[in-house]
Amino acid sequence: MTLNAPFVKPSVLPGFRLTIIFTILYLTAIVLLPLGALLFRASSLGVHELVSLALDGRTLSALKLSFLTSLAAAAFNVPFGLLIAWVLVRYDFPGRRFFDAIIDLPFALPTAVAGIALTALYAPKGWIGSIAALFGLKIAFTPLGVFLALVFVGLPFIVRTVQPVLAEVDRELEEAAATLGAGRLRTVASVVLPVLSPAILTGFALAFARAVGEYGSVIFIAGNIPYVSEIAPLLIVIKLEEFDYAGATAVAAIMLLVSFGTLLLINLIQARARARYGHV
Amino acid sequence: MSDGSVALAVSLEETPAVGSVAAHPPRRRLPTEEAPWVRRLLIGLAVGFLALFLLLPLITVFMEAFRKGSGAFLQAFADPAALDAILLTLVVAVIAVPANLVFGVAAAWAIAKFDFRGKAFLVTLIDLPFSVSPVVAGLVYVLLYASHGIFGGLVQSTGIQIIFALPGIIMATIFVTFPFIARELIPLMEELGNTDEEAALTLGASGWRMFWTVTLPNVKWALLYGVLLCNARAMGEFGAVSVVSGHIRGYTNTMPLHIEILYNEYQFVAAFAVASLLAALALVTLGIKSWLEHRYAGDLAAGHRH
Amino acid sequence: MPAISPPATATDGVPMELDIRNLTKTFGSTAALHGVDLKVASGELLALLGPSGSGKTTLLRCVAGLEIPSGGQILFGGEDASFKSVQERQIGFVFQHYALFKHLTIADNISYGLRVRPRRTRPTATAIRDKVEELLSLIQLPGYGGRYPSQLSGGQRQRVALARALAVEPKILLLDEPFGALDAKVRKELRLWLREFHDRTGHTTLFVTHDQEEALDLADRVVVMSDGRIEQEGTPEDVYDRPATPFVFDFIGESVRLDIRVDKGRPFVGQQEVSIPKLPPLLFDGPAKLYVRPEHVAFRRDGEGLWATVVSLHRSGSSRRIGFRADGTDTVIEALTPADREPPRIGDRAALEIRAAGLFSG
Repeated sequence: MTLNAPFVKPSVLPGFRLTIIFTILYLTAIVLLPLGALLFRASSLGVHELVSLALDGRTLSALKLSFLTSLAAAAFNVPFGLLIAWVLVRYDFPGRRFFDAIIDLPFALPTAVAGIALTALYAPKGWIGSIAALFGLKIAFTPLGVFLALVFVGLPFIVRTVQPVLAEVDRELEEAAATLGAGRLRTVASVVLPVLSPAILTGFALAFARAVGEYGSVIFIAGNIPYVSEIAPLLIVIKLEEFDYAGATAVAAIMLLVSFGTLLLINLIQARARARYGHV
Repeated sequence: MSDGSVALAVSLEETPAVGSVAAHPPRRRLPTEEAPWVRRLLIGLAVGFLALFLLLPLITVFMEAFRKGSGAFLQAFADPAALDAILLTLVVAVIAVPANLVFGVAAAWAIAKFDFRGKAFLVTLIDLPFSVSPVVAGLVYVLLYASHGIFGGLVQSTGIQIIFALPGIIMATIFVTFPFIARELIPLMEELGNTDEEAALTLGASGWRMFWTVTLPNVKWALLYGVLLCNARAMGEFGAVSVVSGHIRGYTNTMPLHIEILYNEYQFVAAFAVASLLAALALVTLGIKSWLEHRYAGDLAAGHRH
Repeated sequence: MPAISPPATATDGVPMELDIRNLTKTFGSTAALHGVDLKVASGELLALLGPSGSGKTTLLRCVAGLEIPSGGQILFGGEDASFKSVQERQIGFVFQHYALFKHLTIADNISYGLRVRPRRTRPTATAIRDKVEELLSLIQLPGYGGRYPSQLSGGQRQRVALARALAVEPKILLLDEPFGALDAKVRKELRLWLREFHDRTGHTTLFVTHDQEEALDLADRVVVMSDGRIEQEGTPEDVYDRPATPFVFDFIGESVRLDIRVDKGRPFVGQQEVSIPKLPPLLFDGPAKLYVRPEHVAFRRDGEGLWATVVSLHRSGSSRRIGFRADGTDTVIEALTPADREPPRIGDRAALEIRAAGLFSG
């Protein structure tokens, strides 16, 4: 294996060449090439063009709507996700396993199915929409509807990143705080939460990244009125249908930047946590 | 050290515990527990939130599907377009999932069992689809293979259509779902280490035999779960497929796209009827996952991230 | 120590005495403690010694308030603390694995107990800072305040854990296998350090260990436990020289157990009568167990004694162990001799003299 000698640590196990070549080919065809196309297209537009396309009024509104609702939904999910993770890890109650399994629903359910279900629910004639209407509140086809749909989409991320960390928290830490005089609430806030904070941040970032790019769950409930309730992914689709490849590329490039930025941030958080605590 | 001292004890048969248990007030709680009312409140809030945000939408799917009775429900599937959509979805899954399975196993093998430069980059690449919007995923394929795309001329010369046809749908689906199996296997195989395989080799097993008889059995439940999840997502993918498919009724509509069309045409019952199939699939996937985790928690574990 | 405003239930600075009465604890259907009675004097350093499962850690945690007893009472200085919460008991607890707060600096760890006090009783920031400095000097880690636990060695972390527990001026100090997670050399060093520390500060201290050498070396008094009961309590000398039960004989120091017979008030090994000096008259006949320590076995080539054959020779360090099998038994009795003394050969015969032993019926 002289070809691989400096590149891979020699091992008695077979199959490295075969599997790594296949993996690289697969990834190239499926990921690198297409993404490369996007970067190529984006770069051929030139920075100036990209920026002016991005700052177009309609685009800006769409981006603003996507980012703000995603941020709000992810933030909203943090306390509730934390609460749910706590309840699932620390308490036992009838139906616990059921609720634990159902957390993954937004993950397993097709986005289109979620989209129409949420719309039916929050529409003026829907179960929740009709109650809201009593208070004069309109949910479906407004940014509020988008927000609620993104809450649905992002919930599992917070819960599933926090759960394993919470399960691993050493009870002795809580006992130690108690022996030092801290009450229960103080203990949880000063000893348990800090341990959870990298996981919470990671979950928040994942939920945010997911929400920004979410399409199927949101387009039915969004209203899709340009400048008002149009999300960024929809804008891309519309521009594609108009064969405005440049415009679509510009919006996509920005969204990709956000995705990568978030990925980088998550890795940084985890690296820092590992250095500080020796775990994530 | 003294000498000559002798301890003498008379028979030490078991003496029963002397003294009764003093009358004690009801059990107080441990310092690491919350008061019962706090516990109940938190559980109530959590369950309430989950019921509101997760259960209600789920129930809505089935309620709306059967709103006009089972007759109307079944009508939805009499539509040939619906059947075409179901068929197409199945075809896509049947192609995409095995392809991703092979990839997942190969990538997991290379990554978990060997040390090589650039491993972190490879892993990041595999994680990529999770942070990319599905619409962007579809877009990049259009940029590549559409007639105005980079390979547009090349594609046209071969006569095979990619965008607005099955190959494009399959590729977009693969893009969005290929990480699942790999991500299930990699942490587990890393945790399991190389010792089992090395032992098999020392006993004379060939590479393939070692793989089939040692490696695969060790990861079979994680593999199963990865396949289930990959399948559920492959069948349910919407955004990416929506972009590449062209929405050509009867030819390039998968079930999710068909649902969208029905919904936009105000055929709500039909839309929810088709949706309920996918929802049922999601429930089955979750159920099996729950069962797997219950029974084989150890075999699945290792960094269960989504 | 600089004055820190004491907590609401002030003590007068005298270390607390502890009174445990008939303490029982059951987990589900298993009983971890069977009616334990124990008094700890003010300022005493007491070891709870026993194998795992003996209940020693459960006892410690009940005293701390980390476990709730199923029955019995715990009194701190005459005051019933059985129903007080952990926070109210003002104890200091040091865990085997330190339980330091990894996200806080050493200084913040040590001052934690002071910072969580309600405003009324919380010391000023300056007072807290001074106290932390003083404690850091006390544990011989001056200037380490700004570091994090992950930057410290095991032994250092344990000292910080101790400082943290002391910062709140506890009435009683409780240590759960404090050196269990450290390697042998560090363990010995810290043991010495802790003894000296205790002599200097004088807190009533209870510590749990399964290491008898540690208990005998360190403690003023040792409590040997087994199966949720106290087998014996006494000074290290008491427990070593005058074991009260077979368990203690077995657990502390080395000994060999011989199954013997008592006939007409005299002990017999096989067919031979064993004569043990200063043996009080035996009031029972029947099977019995004889416990002998190697250092209490002497041998002669001829004369009166328990005749036995040499079956093994083993040199360890500066002493030699000679294994004898007495006629009529299978058990090997070991004798301890200096290594420079000429040893017998295997197969030689000798007459054993047993200078001291424990005899228990059954």
